[in-house]
Amino acid sequence: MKYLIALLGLLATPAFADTSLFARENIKGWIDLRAVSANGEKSWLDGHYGKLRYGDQSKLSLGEATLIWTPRFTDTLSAYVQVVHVPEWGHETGINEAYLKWRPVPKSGLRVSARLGQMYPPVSLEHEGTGWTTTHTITPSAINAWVGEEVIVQGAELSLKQTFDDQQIGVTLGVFRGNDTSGTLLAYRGWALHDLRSTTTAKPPLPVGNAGWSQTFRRQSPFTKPLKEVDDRQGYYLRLDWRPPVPVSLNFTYFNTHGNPTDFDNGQYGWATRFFNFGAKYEVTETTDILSQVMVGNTKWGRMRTDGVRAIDADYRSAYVMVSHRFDDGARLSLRGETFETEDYSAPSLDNNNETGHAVTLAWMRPVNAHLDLNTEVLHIDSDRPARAYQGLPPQQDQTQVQVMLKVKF
Amino acid sequence: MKIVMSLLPILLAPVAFAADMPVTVLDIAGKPVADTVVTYTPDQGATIGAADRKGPFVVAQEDMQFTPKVLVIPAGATVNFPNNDTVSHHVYSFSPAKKFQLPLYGHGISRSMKFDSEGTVAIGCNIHDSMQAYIRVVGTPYFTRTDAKGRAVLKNLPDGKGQILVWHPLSTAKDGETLQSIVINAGSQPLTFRLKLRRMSTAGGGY
Repeated sequence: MKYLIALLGLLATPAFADTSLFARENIKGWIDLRAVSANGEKSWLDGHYGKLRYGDQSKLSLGEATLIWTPRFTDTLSAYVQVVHVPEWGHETGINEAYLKWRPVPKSGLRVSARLGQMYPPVSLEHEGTGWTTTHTITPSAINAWVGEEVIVQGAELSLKQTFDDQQIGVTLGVFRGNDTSGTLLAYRGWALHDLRSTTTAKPPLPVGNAGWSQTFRRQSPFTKPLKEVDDRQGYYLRLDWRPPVPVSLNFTYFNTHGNPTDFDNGQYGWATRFFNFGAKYEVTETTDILSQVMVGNTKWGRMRTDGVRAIDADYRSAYVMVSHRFDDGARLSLRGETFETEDYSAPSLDNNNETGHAVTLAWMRPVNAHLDLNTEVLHIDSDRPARAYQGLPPQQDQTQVQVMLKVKF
Repeated sequence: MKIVMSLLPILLAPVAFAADMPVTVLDIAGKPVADTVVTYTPDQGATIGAADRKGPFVVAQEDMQFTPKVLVIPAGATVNFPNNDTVSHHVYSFSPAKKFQLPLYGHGISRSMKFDSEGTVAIGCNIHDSMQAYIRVVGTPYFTRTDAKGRAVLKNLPDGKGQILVWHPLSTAKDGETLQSIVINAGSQPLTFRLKLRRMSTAGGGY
């Protein structure tokens, strides 16, 4: 750390003409205020099984306050630090992404870039906005909501993109630590649709009941720590990109925490979690596009039992398709449909983590001016999760959530 | 009167020997194609004068985009690159016609660069991959660029034989170029070109 500070100090000297640390353009942020109304079950954020950020309530609320610092050390080396405050998770304020970024000026069609620090692997097609925010809807899909909470890593990433006359291919390789609990929420809570992003200090709650995981695995804390390192083993991810000579872009990612499933540390297990993600975007016209992602994965922890299954061993799958149209004034209307499920192979009679569900989201995102966005969204979800019985609830639930968001940017 | 009569052909000479040539560029579906560079090169050659290079030629950075997306200039002209955005940009090109970079500069600052060699210069921003533009450097004083309706006019063309060249960055023709021989005279008819354009997805994944 001392070396890092010394390095930063060196880079900050006026000898580097392109250094810009605290100029106006190095700092930005926003506050988003919301009017929300949701029926149905209570949210998982309150310790229940509700799959949305809000449930069984109508209120005016702070959505999020964010501060982003993007110091520039040289013309090719910069940093990105994002601090997020949300009223949930005990008024959590913490560091979301924080990394160094190196982008040398291309000398040919080969674009090289690298990142080092705490960051999201490039999985989401929906988070194309400033500060890893969604541009098409307020609430990301189940896939990318999960990425936002449990697929944030501390590592190094190298990306190579080669542009040819009429197409582009890319390879991105990441090696990381600090993501060994990834899968905890997915197994014990299941898929969820919300726009919260994890921080270094966040403790997302797990649904506690009169049976199930909380009574079976009592050493597990009633919350998870998404950035906790448990086993001191490195995880990795590989992404391939292809932009063929048609208005389509395709990507494929393999992610593996390479976790040791028998490790345990201070209330958190080491989860061996891996997934394949396939993403596609088709620009039907210059203003209309279709986005889709499919994710298939498995998460597990515990010793191998005689039947070849560990304490928790669950497959998870989800897919969405979104159609979006951008109007001349910059406003965007998007409709997304998705499906999700988890399949528990371990001991469903003791701790049932099976789940199926569907959701439909309609969103109207309108930039009013450079400092104000007005976004509206309606989301309907239905799901079947037998574990709801552990809290005395019917397994089958459905609910609708309406949000109006005013985002003030500076 | 005799003097006037004898002067008349001389007075009319520039008019008689210079014509305007309207050009329309459409895609194969018949939709207008903007940002197409149209040039005319007389067979007997043409000289680029100081006035042709005067410009001003500008590629601005506005709303995280280059404006215009396509600029045509005569060889030897200088282009200004003002940054009208609130964030800094880093303009570069690795095109053989002109490799250069204008390292990071911020709002209200402009940099300039002279382009001597003919060819296509693809420019980008090292910070923002979605920013792309083209500077087409040509060896003739007769050049223009189509508007949103796919229309452009080549002005003051000298009578005689020559070649019209139509270039668009997304044209599937070899090097994006479509060439047509033409004779310019008082009876020259407006020209229409139909280009087959390729479409690629826009650069995404701002990581």
